[in-house]
Order: sequence, then C-alpha cells, then structure tokens
Amino acid sequence: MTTATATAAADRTAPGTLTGAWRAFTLQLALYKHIWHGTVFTSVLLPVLYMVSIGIGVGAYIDPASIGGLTYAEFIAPGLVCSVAVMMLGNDMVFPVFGGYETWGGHYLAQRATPLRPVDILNGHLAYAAVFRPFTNCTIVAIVMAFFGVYHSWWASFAVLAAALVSASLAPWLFFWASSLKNDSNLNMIFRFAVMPISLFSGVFFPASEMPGFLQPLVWLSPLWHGTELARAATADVAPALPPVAHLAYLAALAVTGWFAARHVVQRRLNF
Amino acid sequence: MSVIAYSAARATLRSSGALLNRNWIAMRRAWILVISGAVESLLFLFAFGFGVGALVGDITLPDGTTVSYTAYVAPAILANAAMMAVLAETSINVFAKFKWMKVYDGILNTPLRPWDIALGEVWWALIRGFTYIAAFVVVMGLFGLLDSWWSLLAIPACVFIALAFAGIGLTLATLFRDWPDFDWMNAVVFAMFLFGGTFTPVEAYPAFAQPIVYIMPLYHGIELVRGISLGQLGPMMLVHIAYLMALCVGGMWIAQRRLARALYK
Amino acid sequence: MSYEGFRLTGMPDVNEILVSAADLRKSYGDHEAVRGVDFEIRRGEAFGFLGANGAGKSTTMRMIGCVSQPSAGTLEVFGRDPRTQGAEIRARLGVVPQDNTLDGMLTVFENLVVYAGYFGIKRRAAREKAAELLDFVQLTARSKDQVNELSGGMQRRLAIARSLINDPELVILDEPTTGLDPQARHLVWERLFQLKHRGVSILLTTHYMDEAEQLCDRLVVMDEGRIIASGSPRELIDTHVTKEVVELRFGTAHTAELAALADTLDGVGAQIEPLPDKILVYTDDADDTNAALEIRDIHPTSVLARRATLEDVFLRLTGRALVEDEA
Ligand SMILES: Nc1ncnc2c1ncn2[C@@H]1O[C@H](COP(=O)(O)OP(=O)(O)O)[C@@H](O)[C@H]1O
Ligand SMILES: [Mg+2]
Repeated sequence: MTTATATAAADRTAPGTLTGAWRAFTLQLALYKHIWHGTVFTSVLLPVLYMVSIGIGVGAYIDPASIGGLTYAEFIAPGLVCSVAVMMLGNDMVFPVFGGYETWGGHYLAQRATPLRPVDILNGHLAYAAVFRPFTNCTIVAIVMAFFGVYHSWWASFAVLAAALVSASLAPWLFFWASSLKNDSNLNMIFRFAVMPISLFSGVFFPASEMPGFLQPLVWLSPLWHGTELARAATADVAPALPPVAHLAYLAALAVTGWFAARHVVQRRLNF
Repeated sequence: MSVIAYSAARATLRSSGALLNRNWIAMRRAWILVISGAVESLLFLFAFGFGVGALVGDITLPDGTTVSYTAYVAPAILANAAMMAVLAETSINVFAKFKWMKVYDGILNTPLRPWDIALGEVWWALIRGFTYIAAFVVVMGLFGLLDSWWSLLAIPACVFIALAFAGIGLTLATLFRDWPDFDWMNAVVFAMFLFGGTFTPVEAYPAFAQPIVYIMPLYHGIELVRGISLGQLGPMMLVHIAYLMALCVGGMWIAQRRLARALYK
Repeated sequence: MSYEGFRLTGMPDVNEILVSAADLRKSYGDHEAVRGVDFEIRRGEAFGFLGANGAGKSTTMRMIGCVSQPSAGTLEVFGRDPRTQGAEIRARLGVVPQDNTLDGMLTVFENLVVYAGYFGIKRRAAREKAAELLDFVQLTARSKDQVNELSGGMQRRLAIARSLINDPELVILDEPTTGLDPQARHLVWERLFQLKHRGVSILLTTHYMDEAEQLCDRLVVMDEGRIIASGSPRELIDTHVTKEVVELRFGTAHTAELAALADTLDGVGAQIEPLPDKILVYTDDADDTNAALEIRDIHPTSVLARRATLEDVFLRLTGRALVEDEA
C-alpha cells in the first residue's frame, strides 16, 4: 500500500460572501448533474404538454374575444414560461431544503462543517434554484413555445426575465417554509397549499378576473400572477394589469424580505 | 366443499384485514395528509372545470349533443382523482414500506403470505380512493354538476378505476428500483391526464394519436364515469369495465408473485 | 419477579426435535451461501450458531423461519415442511431478524398490537399481552414513543418483545446483541435466560464468543457456509484447544512479521496461532511455555497467560482465514 502525503493547497482563510456562495452553488451544481434527467419532465416537457393539450386542444373551443383578442395559445404561453419557474421551485426548494438539515445525509450539515457560513449555504442554494435553473430551463421552454407561433416580437425574450423574477421572489419564502418544518409529511402540504394553487390560479390558464371577487386579493399576492402579467406584456404586447413598475416593485420587495426571513431561519437551524 | 372455500376466503380476509389494521393505525396520525390529497383534484376542477370552462362555455360532443364544458370535464377529473389516490397508495407508499422501511420483512415472519399483503394494500388503497371520490362527488353536487341521482353511479364506476390502478401501482412498486423511477411514473400519469380524453373528445385528436389513447387505462375510466354522469349509457361501458378489471387482476397477480420472489430471499 | 401469560410447558420433552436439517443448502445465483449443513434442535434447549460475518448464519435462520426457500437438502420445523406449510410454522415461531424490521410508522405499543393482529390475536388479548411484554423488556415508559426515537438497545428489546407476542415455542434471534453497549447486552442476556427458564426453546446466532458461552447449551460453528464444529461450549473447548493460552505481543510487529516470528516459535506450545496483532500459543502449561521462550532467548513486549475460551476455539478453527484476509 502506498501512502500519498501530498498536502492539499487548502485555503485557510474564511471565504467572502461571493466566494462562499459560489462554493455552495457548485455543490448544488454537482448534485444537479446526477438528477437533471429526472427534472426534464417538469421543467421542459410538462409545459409543452400543457401547451398541446390545453393551449391547442381546448383552445380550439375558445373564442378569442373572451381573452382580449388573443388566441388561447398566445394567452397561456407566457404564463407557462413563468409557471415552469414555480414548478421547478417545488422540486428544488422543498424537499432538498428540508433534507439538508437531516442527520442522514443532509448536505447543509455537511457544508456547515466547512468554512462556509449558513448565509453562504442559503445564497448558494438560491443561486442555483432562483438564477441558474430559471435562466436555463425557462429559456428552453420559451424557445420551444416559439414553435407554436405565439410571439409577436423579440420583446418576448423578456418573458424569461419575468420568470426569473418570479423564481427569485418565491424561492426564499419556500426556503423559509421548508426550513421551519419539523415533520416531513408536511412537505406535501407545501405542494398542495402553495405550489399547486399558485400554479393554477395566477391567471395562467384563465384571466384572474374570472375568479370570484373575494378571491381576487389572493391572486394579487401571488408572485406568479405579477410575473405572468409582465411576461404577457412582453410576448403578446398587451397592457399588464398594473404599471410594469408596480409589478416589478412587488416582486423585488417579496424577494428581499424573503431573503431576510430565510437568512434568519437558516442561521437558527445551522447554529447549534 | 363450499365450507372449505368459505374458511379459506375467511382466512385470507382476516390476514389481509390485519394489514389493513396496520395501515389504519399508521395513518391515523397523518389523516390530514390523506384527506388533503383530495384537495389537489378539487383545485384542478376549479381551475379547468370552472376557470377554463367559463372561457369555453358549451361544448358540442361528437354525437351532436351539447353540454357545458364544466359538466364535461368534471367527471374526467373525478376519474383522475380516483387514479391518483390509489396510485399514490399502492405504488409510492408500498415501495417505501417494501424497500425502505422494510415493513413487509417483519410481517413475513408471521403467518401472513405475500398474497395477504397484496390484498391488504389493495383494500387500504380502495378505502383511501373512496374518501377522495366521495369528497369530490359531494363538491360536484354542491356546484350543481350532478344531473340526477343516477349520477351517483359515478361512485361505483370509480371503484373500477381504483381497482385497475391498484393492480398497476402494486406491480410498479415491485418493479421500481429507486425514487427517480417514480418521477417517470408521475410523468406518464400526468401525460395520461392531459391526453386521456380529459379535456377534449378523443375524436378531435389527430388520427395517429387515437389508438394510443385507447390503450390508456385512464381513458377507459374517464369514458365510464363521464358516460354515467352525463346519462349516456351504452354497451361500450362493459368493454371499459372489462379492461379495467383485467388490469386489476393481472396487476395484483404479478405483484404478489414479485413480492414473494423479492421477500422470500 | 414473575410474569404471567407465558406458555407453561412444564418439563419440556427434551427429546422432541423442533428443527432438523440434513444437507441443507442455499445458493444465490452461483454463490453458495449455505453448503450442506446438518443439525438438530431439541425442545427446551438454547442452540447457537457461531460464525464470522458472511458465514451463512442469517441465511440458515431465514430458511428455518420459512421466509427463504432452501435450494437443496431437507429441513423440517415442528415436523412440518417449510416449503408447503410456511404459514403454519411461522404461527408457532418468534423471530428477531438481524435488522429489527420494526415498523417505523408506529409507536412502540402499536408495533406489538399490530404485529399480534398478523397472528390473528384478538384486540383485547393483544393489548394485554403487549403491555405485559413491554414490562418484560422494560419499555413500558416508552410505549407511546415512535420507534425511531429509541436507542439501538431499546429497539432490540422491542424486537424481542414483538417476537414473543404469539407465545412461540421456538424463538429465533439473529445476532441479538450486535451493536449494543455492555449494559444493554447484559439486559438482553438476562431476559433470554428468563425465557429459557420458562421452557421456551431458543435459537440464536452470534459472533460474540462470550455470548455463546453464556447462553447456549449446544452450538455449531459455521464458516463459509459449512459447520466446522459442534457440541456444548465445554466440549468444544476440550476438543479443539488446550487448557491454557499464552498471548504474546511484539511491539508494533503485525501480520506478516508476526507470521514470520511464529515460525521461530515452533515447539514452545502445542500449537502456534499468529493473529494480526499477537501470537497465541496453545499449551497445557503456561509455565512450560514461558520457560521455553526464555531458553530460546525470545522476549516479547508482553506475555499474558489465561484459560482457553470459546474464542480460542473459534480462532483456531477459522483464524487463519482472518490472517489471510488481512494480508
Ligand atoms: N439475499 C441475498 N442475495 C445474495 N447473496 C446473499 C443474500 N443474503 C446473503 N447473501 C450472501 O450469503 C452469504 C452468507 O450471508 P449471511 O447468511 O447473511 O451471513 P451471516 O449472517 O453469517 O453474516 C454472504 O456471502 C452474503 O453475501
Ligand atoms: Mg447475519
């Protein structure tokens, strides 16, 4: 047996915020290499299937007059691009976060034993789930949608930006929620009572104004609704419900407050 | 002769009943999780039945009759609810108990046999499926989607769907190796939901796609439930029932064989 | 202390054979895990299977427990054929598998009651029996806890309690104390003694020699799927090793160096056994051996003389394999 005694050139200083986040991000990326094929369905195929089944299939029975003169495919395409972001968060920001703190193989606990700080771990995971994933997968979906002839101009590319914003505003809150749970059976609750309702009732498949008045305020809370309004303005050149600045401001506010909430809980969970 | 058959049946039922009892006690604490599973299908009903339904208005069926789109889609989502409840129980939960928690390894040290386990899991899945179906039908009734008392026959119709997917789910639980396999199962199931005749009549699909749809178990379930709830009975229903029952029996038989092979190491 | 409700068999009929195996074999693919073993287990005795990891103990236990089909040979349990009457046999057995297979979704108490249901025990009777068994394994205070909140020793005790729920005639325990701390091991041993006193027959596997020595009336030593020795602990020691053993250590010398050193020791005892960390000299008189070392001018760093134990039997019979594995 040979014993190699080369000294690894380990950095013995504490990493800065950017370096720390980058290192935590690379771990997420390494995990992604193993699981990406399992995510192809939700993040690429599913929106396309929705487009064919609902957009084209059901769309054949829908009178464009009822949705502001757009074809139904044009109506749902921008929403689908944004809802991919939400569905991906359902995979990336619920179980992986909860499992990160588990004594059996939790990767947060493993990272905690390195020079990374809790906030680095949070930033790394957010960089993966709210930046890397939307900019890759939503772009692919947005490009595939182009083949259905649903865009009016190059402005449509801004739909991806809207999707990334939705992701950034929701991701820290899901992180916060999943980090606060004690029991894994409650993880399903996040799907049933957050991810699913947000995906279905944010004006993606039908205008939010169809919904009963008393539910409207809930729709305004949904980041996906704000994102979809912005994305639809980009792809179909229709005026959003509010001035674009208002939609943007809401999403940004949600993202920032969410980050602080998430930082609070990750520091509590990883300092013991 | 019949006395022997009776006592044999009673022995099997009592054994599978013991497993049912186990599942009941295990899930007592997580009942909210089980019940809230029904919520998912209701969300689909509200989004597509009512939300999109309002955009569509009425839909003209291939046979010329016109019904509201909501009434058209609701039975299909009901069929989907029955499928989802039973599949979740028999595939993922059985897989977890089988490969992960090793629950069956402990049970097989008792007089129970693999067949008792398969049967017990199917009973349990049916009970869970039934709660979803009942909740869904009540909501349909509240929103005026049930035309007559005959529409309540949709409930027993769903039992056939539940049985078929219990057989399929059990078989999958023994076939699957790891969790990613379930992602693919969910993908297939969701594709069936979108393309099994849920949202538009199959007759409107491109010709090449129609035979594929006819193979889908969910399609037969949807046609059965929709036919009953729209009051359009026909001989084809017997075909649907036969297909679903064949899946149930075949699936359970394969599953208990594979369970026996895997557990009796 | 007295516990009610156990089967009182009176004086067990020690000649009744509960389990008999002849040329019993089990293969997985082309790997033969059990290669033709013969043994008989009688009512009322505590019978042990001793062997290293992978010797084939668990495989044999699973075949007796009727959850594994023998590949060849004959096996009878309670005079019945496991191939066709598995359920009937299992109804009279209690099994503590190597990995507990407790039901993680249930509480401690529910584990017992639900398990009783598998034997067709009525609810009321099951609850009474469960309470009594929890008392027996000293887990009453934890009865409402989730199984995975218990320590390893507690889980083991619960598995033992569970195996007793149907008043079994024979309890099979696969490595009952592996991984437990010393206190927990002693507690388990003490409970097994109690069971034996009540006339319950016990079949256990272990790789702890002291456990086998303490608990077993008769035992077999398994190695690579075969039985290489059998008898009572005393008989095994008398047959296979000398009365005393001298342990020699030579500083940091190990495996290969020790094997070389062992060659120079020829004749100082009846038998020389190099191990990875020391050399064992089997001898009828330790003083003679010490004198012989002195004469040859061999000076180990430490010399320890002691009585021979079952562990020495085991090392004698299988020890070389260990050394070769290490090399
Ligand atoms: N289910 C199985 N499939 C394949 N090989 C097995 C299986 N169970 C045991 N073996 C093999 O059989 C041999 C004996 O194993 P086992 O009976 O568990 O030994 P022990 O209990 O004495 O440690 C080992 O080599 C093991 O790898
Ligand atoms: Mg073993």
